[in-house]
Amino acid sequence: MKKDYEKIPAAAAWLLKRILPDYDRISLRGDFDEMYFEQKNRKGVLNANIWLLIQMFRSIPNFFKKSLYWSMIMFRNYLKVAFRNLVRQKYYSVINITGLAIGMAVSFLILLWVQDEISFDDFHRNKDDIYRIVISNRDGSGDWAAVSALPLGTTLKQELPEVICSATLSFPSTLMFSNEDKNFNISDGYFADPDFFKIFSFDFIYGDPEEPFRDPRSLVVTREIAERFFGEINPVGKILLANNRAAYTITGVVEDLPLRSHIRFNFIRPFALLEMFGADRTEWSDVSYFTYLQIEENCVIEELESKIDQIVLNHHPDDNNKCFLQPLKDIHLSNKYFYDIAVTGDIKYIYIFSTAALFILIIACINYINLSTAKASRRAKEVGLRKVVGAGRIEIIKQFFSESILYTLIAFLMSLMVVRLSIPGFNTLTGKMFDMNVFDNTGMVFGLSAIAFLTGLLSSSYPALLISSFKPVSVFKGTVLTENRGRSYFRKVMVITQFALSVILIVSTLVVSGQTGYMRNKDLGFNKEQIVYFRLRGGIRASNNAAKEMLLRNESVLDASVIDMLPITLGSGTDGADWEGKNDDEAIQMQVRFVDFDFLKTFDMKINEGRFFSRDFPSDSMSAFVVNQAAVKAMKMESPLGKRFSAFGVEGRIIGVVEDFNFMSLHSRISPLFMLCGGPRTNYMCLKVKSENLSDTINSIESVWDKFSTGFPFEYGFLDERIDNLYRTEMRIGKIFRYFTFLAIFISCLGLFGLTSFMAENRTKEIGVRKVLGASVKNITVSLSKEFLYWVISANILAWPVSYAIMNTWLEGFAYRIDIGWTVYILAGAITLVITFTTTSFQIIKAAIVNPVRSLRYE
Amino acid sequence: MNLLSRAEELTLLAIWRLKKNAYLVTVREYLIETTLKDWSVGAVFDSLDRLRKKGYVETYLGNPTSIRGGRSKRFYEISKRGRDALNDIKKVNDEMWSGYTETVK
Repeated sequence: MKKDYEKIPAAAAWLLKRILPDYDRISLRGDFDEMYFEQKNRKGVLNANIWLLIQMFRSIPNFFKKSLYWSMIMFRNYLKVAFRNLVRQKYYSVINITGLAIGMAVSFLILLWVQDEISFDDFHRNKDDIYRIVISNRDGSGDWAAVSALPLGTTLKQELPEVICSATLSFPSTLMFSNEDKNFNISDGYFADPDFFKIFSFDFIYGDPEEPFRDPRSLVVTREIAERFFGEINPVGKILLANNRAAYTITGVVEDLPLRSHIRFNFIRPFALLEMFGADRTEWSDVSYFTYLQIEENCVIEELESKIDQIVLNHHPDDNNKCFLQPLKDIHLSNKYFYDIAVTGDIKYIYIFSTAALFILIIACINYINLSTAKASRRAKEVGLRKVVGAGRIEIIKQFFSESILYTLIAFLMSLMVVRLSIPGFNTLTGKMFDMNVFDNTGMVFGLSAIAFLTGLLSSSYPALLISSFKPVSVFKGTVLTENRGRSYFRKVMVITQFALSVILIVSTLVVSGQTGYMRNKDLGFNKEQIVYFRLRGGIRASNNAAKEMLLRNESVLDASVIDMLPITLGSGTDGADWEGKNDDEAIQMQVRFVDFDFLKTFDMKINEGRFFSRDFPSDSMSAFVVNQAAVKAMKMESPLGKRFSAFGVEGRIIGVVEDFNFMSLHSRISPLFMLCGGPRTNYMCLKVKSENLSDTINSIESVWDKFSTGFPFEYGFLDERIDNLYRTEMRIGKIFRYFTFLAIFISCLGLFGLTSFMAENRTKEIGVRKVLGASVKNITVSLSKEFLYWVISANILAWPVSYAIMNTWLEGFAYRIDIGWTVYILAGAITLVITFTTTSFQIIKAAIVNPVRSLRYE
Repeated sequence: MNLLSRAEELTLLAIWRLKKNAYLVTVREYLIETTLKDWSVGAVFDSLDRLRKKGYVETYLGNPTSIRGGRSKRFYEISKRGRDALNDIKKVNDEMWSGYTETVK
């Protein structure tokens, strides 16, 4: 019998299924079968197969066009339905979109900040080949320092072929420059080798980077400084008078430094001048300079470091410091180095902030997940119907993804607006200068899209999978409509996660602000209130004794002291001190302070043993030492008084021991210190003043200043403000954390509010029945609130250990730190409880007081 | 007046000629016979689908038969609008072609 039907090959059938438009697949497949059968009868199997293959490929473009058209139609329908839902349930939509928008906005801002922090110094053309030399003790003990020996730079350039350029940089200093009638104190002036401008790419507006200095009295300034003195004209060749004595010729003007530069200078003088002042380029023990190297590409750093070490030992056999090469890009984010002049950030805060931003984003996504799964039962019938008329699971998943795309897109646009509006505030908060142009670069655009995509994916995947799994049969039977246990369990876990994240943020905020408050208020061992300080410049420096007397005549000035360094800054140090009973192999890094007779009195410090320097003992001046308790301990002295001590070429005896005081920030412990009285280092005058009529007092101080230092601008500061400044980073972190916490709580509350209203609505009937059976408003409120109580408590219990671990790690960065007491946790718990109940009580009470007649008639 | 494209015009005429027996396979055969060009399945389907969307043809599914593995045929039939369209295009064609004589080289 002749067959009247033959199937096409299976492979072709499979392919056809893929390419034929859905809506007419069946009859088209029939058409293909029929034609194939005919071809086969006429020309044989092989030819029929070839015919089929050619036909299929020729038809693909036409069929594909159709499929695309239809999927677009479906997509339009998805969006339309999504939009209708969005408008119909304004409540939920507002909650979802606000949460997502805030979450994304926070992430964008943090992304901006992180991007800025990690791209420090990236504007230098040789950025990958620039290294700074940092040192550490040879035996691995002791601290790291950013300084290195003076001869190192030039020596390495001569002896190591890998070193292309080297530049030695001094510590910064301040000079008063004047030109005609203009006088300004200009800070951040450095001495640098000419190679400095070859290594670093600072743009020259005028002058030649290849030859920045003409003679030792040359000066390179930034545009801002040049314009302050000369306006917009080319100032090269003009002369500036420094401290009314020396004349400098401007030989170059560089563009104002980018904010992302770790070196911040206002002017640069040639290092040759410092050599004329006495800096000795053969003195290996002078370790107070910064050395920058530009090295050949593809050098192995470890090999180079050992070569450098060999060179150092050749020149200076008993050198105690080992040199390391620190890449330029690491300088900004490492803050462990002493004597570092770089603007430093902290890699820790990059992690902390990114995590916090991620927390907020997760909280917002959880809102979306919870509210859409809670609403799922309302969409069940729609999904069931779609499935009955032929939608597969994939189509439903597509639908709910498109829906979340719509939400995310709206939230994305809103978050861009939020970012735009909050940029000025964010700049004040972080001390950076962002503008909207930051969104111009491709990396940023990529980052933003990645965050938005992640948000959409994170928030839509679970609802889409859940809703698409509904079976039409059970939907129409009504079994899906009742909440199943797994789903509400999942939602509970989500809410608990949300609250746990909030609790972690609350605890962190409390600890950070506790630690900052502790540092600002801790007894430092000296009085910091009511102390005015100013730097001595001009004539007042030489005649500081006369000035002091004159100042003390004013009865608002209680005490005055002339010192070399403010008590809170790191001064000079030495490991070359010698004392009675010292072992030969012992070397202790000790700090030195040059003070005067009134130092103790002015700062209200306490003497522990012996006595302080006194005018009654003329021999005290530059031949006696006062040490602190930490030094006594370090030197292991039983009775330090009268012991021989020598340092800085001064021989003398220890006459007293002061109680330890914090002469650096509280990040570090009090280190050994000795004090010398008198000497040439008269840098600062500190005055203890009465708190009344402060402005009058300042005016009278200024008039004394003017008598001695005519023409020098009078600049003063308060010590307590200066100390607060030490903890600027912590205060900034604290503030940012407060905002984070507020936003996190706000978003969680939004979600909770939505969830409560959904629950209250779902349980309307139950509440009605309970009331009919005699439950009071109070009973119902309690029974509805109970669940939230469990949530909050379990969230707290989960979050406590986590936050303890996190904050303990953070506190490890402080030598003086608070202990995380239980009060912090109780407080965090109380805050979450109060917030939860204020958020939920409105909906709960509303549901509880409804007349049962109305609620039972509902539906 | 909505002018049909050449492919649509030919397909519509083919449907008209095939009367009750117009479905993809027969329409394609007819087109190949008259134009002597090999129309791909997709191309024929495309013009059929376009005619349907514009409302020039109506379609219905035939009864499933054991031939074609139980898959029904989708039949096409000219609608009222399709007839109007054919009239229109005939008028235009007649006008444009009038007076033209086939030149012999």
